[in-house]
Amino acid sequence: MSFSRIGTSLGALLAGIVLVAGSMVSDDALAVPSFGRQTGMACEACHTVFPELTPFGRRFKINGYLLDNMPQVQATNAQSQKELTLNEIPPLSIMVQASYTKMKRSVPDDTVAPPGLAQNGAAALPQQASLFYAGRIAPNLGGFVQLTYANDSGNVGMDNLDLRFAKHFDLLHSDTVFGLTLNNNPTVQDSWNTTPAWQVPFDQQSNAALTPAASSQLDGSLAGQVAGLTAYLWWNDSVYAELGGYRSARTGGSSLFPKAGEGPTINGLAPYWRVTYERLWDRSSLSIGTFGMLVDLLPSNTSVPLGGATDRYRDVGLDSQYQYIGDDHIGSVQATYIDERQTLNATYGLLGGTANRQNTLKTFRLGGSYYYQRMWGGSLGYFITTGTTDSILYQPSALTGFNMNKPDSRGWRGELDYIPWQNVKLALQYVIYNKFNGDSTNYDGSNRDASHNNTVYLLAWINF
Amino acid sequence: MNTSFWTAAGAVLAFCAAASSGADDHARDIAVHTCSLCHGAKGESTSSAFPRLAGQNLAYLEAQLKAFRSQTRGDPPAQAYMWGMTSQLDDPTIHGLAAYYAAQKPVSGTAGPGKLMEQGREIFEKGLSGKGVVACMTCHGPDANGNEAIPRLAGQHAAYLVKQLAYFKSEIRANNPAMHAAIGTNMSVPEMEAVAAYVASK
Repeated sequence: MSFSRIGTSLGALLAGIVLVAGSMVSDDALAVPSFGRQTGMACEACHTVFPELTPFGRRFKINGYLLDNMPQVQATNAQSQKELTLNEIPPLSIMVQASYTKMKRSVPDDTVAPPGLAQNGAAALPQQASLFYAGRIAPNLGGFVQLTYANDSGNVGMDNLDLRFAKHFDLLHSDTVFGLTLNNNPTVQDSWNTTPAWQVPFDQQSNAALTPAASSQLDGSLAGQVAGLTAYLWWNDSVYAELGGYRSARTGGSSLFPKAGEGPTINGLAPYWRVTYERLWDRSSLSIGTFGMLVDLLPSNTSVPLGGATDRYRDVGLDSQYQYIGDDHIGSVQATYIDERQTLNATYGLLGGTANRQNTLKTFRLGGSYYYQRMWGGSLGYFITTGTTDSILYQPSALTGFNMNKPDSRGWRGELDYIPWQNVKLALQYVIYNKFNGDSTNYDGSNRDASHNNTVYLLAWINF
Repeated sequence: MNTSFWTAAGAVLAFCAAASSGADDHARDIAVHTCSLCHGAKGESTSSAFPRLAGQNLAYLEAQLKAFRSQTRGDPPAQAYMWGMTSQLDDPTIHGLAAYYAAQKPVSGTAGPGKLMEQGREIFEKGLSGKGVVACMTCHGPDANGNEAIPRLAGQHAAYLVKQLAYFKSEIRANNPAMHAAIGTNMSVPEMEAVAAYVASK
């Protein structure tokens, strides 16, 4: 086989995988040397092992990324009010992820007539490369701005965006932070690693492997597609409450009208809320919380007029985290449950795109990790999604379909990590699927089993 | 002439008082909104990773903050956290921070296991004569309150104290009186744990 033939095959394979899997993958990554440059503090102050935040890291974020220990360009007016504090050196940083992915059974090049030709083992250099501005912008204004080149899109685009205002005041004799966040992904602003945007140990996955197709709106479906403004209070170093709303703000489109080929559009404002209680004692912390969102979506079909029927998604999440951060031993456990109730008035009633007007989708993830001296460690996670049987919404289709008309998936994810330096992580991950898109055998109706999608994933994650 | 002199002197004094007050306010603001993230709003940290500062001696706090700033105190947490945190602090702010914590009410200690406490009390009050370890109370006082640049140990996290003794032993923490190197070198870890449990309970 000639090199050009190999290249063509590889390109076709990657393109195919990207087409079927790309839209399902959340590309989140947080571990920003910018903050280290700004605060003069090592990564370990804010992260156990990145991207998991320590209690101090959570407070740094809630305080608007404002903590600054670098020389500043300053301006103060006659009333001693600060009008400018600007880092003399901008808090910039770069992230590079290189990866290698191999599924137990390769994905055919030609999905129309399987098995077709296939090459298993996809290298990505980079899988992602990001440029961050992360830190203080003005006296009470901070930002986390991530521009990312992703190999699946082939483009540089806006990734995570979180602009914050934060200010202290006294409430009921306790110090309180009032904050505002303008962001592009529900839960990207959250400080606990139990919500979808930053949930460990599920934060990194291959973008070249098949992943389960069904996920709730809060579980990454809206990432990068919306603009949200929320207000929060952090009271008495223990209670966090947040309320706000999201509108569609699609990159590369005006989003005024849904267009064919684009994702659905939020009708009006989608309210988002979050409440968490956290308690610290000695080297431990425990949090318990809830979060949720009510989303009315106009389907991506121009035959549904604005102001007409919508699909309503009511997502409610419960989450909890325990962390122990010792000098040598670090361990944590995270649990998240998301219950989504779908009332599909537009897709069911107008478009006939579902067999039921009302569906449910429930997702539960439980993970734990252990690290020794922040250098060696690993994690284990269990995930399960179940939902209503729907013969139209969940149809058989090679690789990505649902032969049993059910969205159910479940499996395990194990990862071994070596962190030679605090800003570099080398990971070996293995994902096992006991059930994939509704069944364990022949889940797609084209003789592919859930275990065929078991994935080995090697990741080098470098931040500087 | 005299009137002008006293007017000028008064103005200078008023300016100094205002400047001092400004530095104290600035220091308080830093303590409440920044240092508090680890050390607690009033220096009453809950995590043994971070020392309790409430009621600590002013001169000791001032010396440590300056040692962090000059990077002469270089134990691992000092490097990871405090070198950065202190890098932009000026002397008046350091003084204000030290004064803020010195003025806070110390946290009461909690007693450890009886046998450990008894062994710790023995070391604290009498030292380890066979090992050349002098009684801790010789410098730190009978109630472990310290004095000026000698730190208060009473009510401190025991785990934090053990770690400091280990740092003295390994000479990672070098900004200490010469005698502490000898004390640390000759104490075993169980002895460190015992004496730390005792002073933490006071």
